[in-house]
Amino acid sequence: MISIWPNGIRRIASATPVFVWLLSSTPAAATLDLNSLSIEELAQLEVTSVTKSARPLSEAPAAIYLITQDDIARSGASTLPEILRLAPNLQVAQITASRYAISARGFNGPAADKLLVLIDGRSIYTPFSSGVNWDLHEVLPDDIERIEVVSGPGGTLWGANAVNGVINIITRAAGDTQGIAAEAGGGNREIRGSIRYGGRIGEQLHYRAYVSGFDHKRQNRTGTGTGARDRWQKIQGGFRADWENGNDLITVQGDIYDGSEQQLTTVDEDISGHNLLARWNRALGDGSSLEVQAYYDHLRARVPGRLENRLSVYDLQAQHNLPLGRHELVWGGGYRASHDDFPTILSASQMVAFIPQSRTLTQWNLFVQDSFPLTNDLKLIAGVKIEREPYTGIEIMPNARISWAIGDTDMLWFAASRAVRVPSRLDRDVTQRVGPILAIDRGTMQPVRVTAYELGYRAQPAANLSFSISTFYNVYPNLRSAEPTNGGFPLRFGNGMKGETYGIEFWANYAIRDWWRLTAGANWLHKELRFKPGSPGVGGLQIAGNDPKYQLSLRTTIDLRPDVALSFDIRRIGALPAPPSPAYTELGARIGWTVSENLELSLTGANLLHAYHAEFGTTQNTLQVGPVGVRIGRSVFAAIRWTL
Amino acid sequence: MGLLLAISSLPERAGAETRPLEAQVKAAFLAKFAAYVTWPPSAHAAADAPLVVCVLGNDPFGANLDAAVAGQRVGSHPLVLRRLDGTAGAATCHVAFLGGSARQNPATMLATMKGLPVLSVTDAGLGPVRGIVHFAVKDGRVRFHIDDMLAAQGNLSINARLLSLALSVRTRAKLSLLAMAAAARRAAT
Repeated sequence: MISIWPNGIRRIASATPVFVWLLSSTPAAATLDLNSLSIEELAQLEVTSVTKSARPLSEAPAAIYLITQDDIARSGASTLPEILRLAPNLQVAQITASRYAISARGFNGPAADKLLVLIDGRSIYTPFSSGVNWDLHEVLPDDIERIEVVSGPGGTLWGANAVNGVINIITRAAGDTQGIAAEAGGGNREIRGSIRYGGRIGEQLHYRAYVSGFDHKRQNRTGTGTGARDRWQKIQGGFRADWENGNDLITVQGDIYDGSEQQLTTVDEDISGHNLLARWNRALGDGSSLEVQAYYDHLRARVPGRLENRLSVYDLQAQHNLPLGRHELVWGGGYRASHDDFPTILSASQMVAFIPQSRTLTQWNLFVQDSFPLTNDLKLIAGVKIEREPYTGIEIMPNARISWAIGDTDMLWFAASRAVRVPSRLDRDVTQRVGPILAIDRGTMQPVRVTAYELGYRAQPAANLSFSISTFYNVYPNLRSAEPTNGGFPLRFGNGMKGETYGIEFWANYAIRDWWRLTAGANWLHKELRFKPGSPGVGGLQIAGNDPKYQLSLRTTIDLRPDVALSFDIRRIGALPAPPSPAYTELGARIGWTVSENLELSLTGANLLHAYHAEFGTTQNTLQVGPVGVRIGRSVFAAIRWTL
Repeated sequence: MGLLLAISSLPERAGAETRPLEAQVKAAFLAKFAAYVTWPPSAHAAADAPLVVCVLGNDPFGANLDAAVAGQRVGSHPLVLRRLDGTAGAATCHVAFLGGSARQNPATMLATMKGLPVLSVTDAGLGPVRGIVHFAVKDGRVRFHIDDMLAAQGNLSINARLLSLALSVRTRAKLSLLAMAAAARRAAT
């Protein structure tokens, strides 16, 4: 059968049009007892938006989980995927040292294609092969202000590929990261270090620059217990500058990185890339605001003597927030061009070629969304995005949400949305020859659509207790499949599968005392997938993704003393069907000691319960681009952090 | 920047008077600042003397501030709230919000209080003049600038935890000479 995709196809990351919203949110209800908050929490509390009205997170009629800077610092997590384990509405499975499968509401895999991810408004969802290459994207954990994790469709605002969820990673303003921060650490599996400097020029211009690097040098284990050859090294640098002048805010930021990843069967893969983004916000006199953003993102992946591919993305977008009486209107549009070059891969056994080898894909979109109160307690949000996709033309992504405020703290919400995952180069232009056989020919795949119905309830029964429960029912009429030609080879990517999924997501926060907090999460997922009549079901239903039925997590943070912070997290993940991976329970822990104002020492342990455990099986999965899973080793890491 | 889902503002309910969250947050801050400031010993009449939070002139906080201060303590000092018409009597305050009045704008108030061991607090919404702490709404959040040099002139010392939250800090180191001169002047008078 079609087995192993050559490494490197999945490479080539980048952007999708996206709209970064000025309307931001934080986890605080207006009715919260503010006096019980710390000064840090008060400073994080959102009190106004551009429209000068309060928008606490508890008002958002969607399944949003917020990861704060404090959560990140307390967890000791140093990579984005590990940080994302903090969100109970995500499925995170580590495949190798550098590679992860991350999804929301199912369809997970090394090439999970239904979750859109943005870093400061720059999409890291690759338009080349669909999905996120988590090994390419690093953000200094200390620079993250918050991560908004939305499970459920977000096509109306974010466009294509926000099918089952959207993750927004938002970094701190340069003015909030002033001075020097240096961190260095080492453990049984890796060493890492970073230094950041933030300064200012005059009153209006703040900037920061950083360099970070790591060597994840100790390899994990394959299913048979041998070394997994997954050493991973990377160095990255970057900057951000914010210029604030009256009603204008201009941000320019960029990163550059270079890394190398050991491969099981070939020489090391080199990855390198850079990106540059500029954004201009202007508050207009009438309470409205304008945002214009442009970015460029480039990636190169290379396995010497085997493959070398490149991708460049250019993206421009604008949006206007316009309050009109009781209405809050947002409208805008965007344009994106991506250019790639993927030379043919030729080996003794197979040949993979994209036809054409190099291609420029363009897309544009327009959207509008309105939010207005129907009654004192009922609020309606309705909007639509029209997007012109490179292969398949116009897609329409509408969305309607109703929220019902019950008392001051509780809210019931309902949403109906439609979103799409659009075909990429990999779905439409790839060919694979195995020996004399043309195994895969250029596909005919159409967009994968979802119609999603969500019902959620969020409440704060006491000042120190809040919870959220969200349910969903998703209908997918045309999932991706591999269809044979006249009963045999070549296969072409098409839409021969369909199905429904439903499930529940729950989380709760409980502050037992000021110094002792608990966060619990649970989710349950059911998939009802089948092949359409006429489709032989090549690869089985498992090609759609590999998901646990359930996940449970419990995290607690304890301030033992003002200068000693302790945290524990335990997670239980259900078994995965194919590739099979048994259910597992794992534990993480961290202790941080603030020795002085400028110095912190910490000790972080991850996956403490087992010497090695698998999270995504240890056998090849069919038809999904990605590596074979390995057994991940226990890790212990000590770090020192110095600030001035 | 920032993101988001479309989101709704607070429902405006008739009857249930929804106070602007911004004023609530500022009031909560005012009640908390004292815990991060050290006053010169002369500023406390006794070990259990109250720590006085004042609003000078116009009061934008109303009952929010009463609620924020009620029952709070900083170490052995209970927190009390006083509302004054202007800077007359402000020397008894430890924390003073300069609300401005018909007779004195915040700038005049600040000038009058120069050198007093009082944590002066101003608000960008009321004008550009900056006290030791200057509230400013940034990215939709209530934040503040800190003028540590001004604090030095009043012999106040501000805890690093509070400084670390400031949008900007005007440091005392650079101008310690000026602070010393101010201290000398106070000693002389």
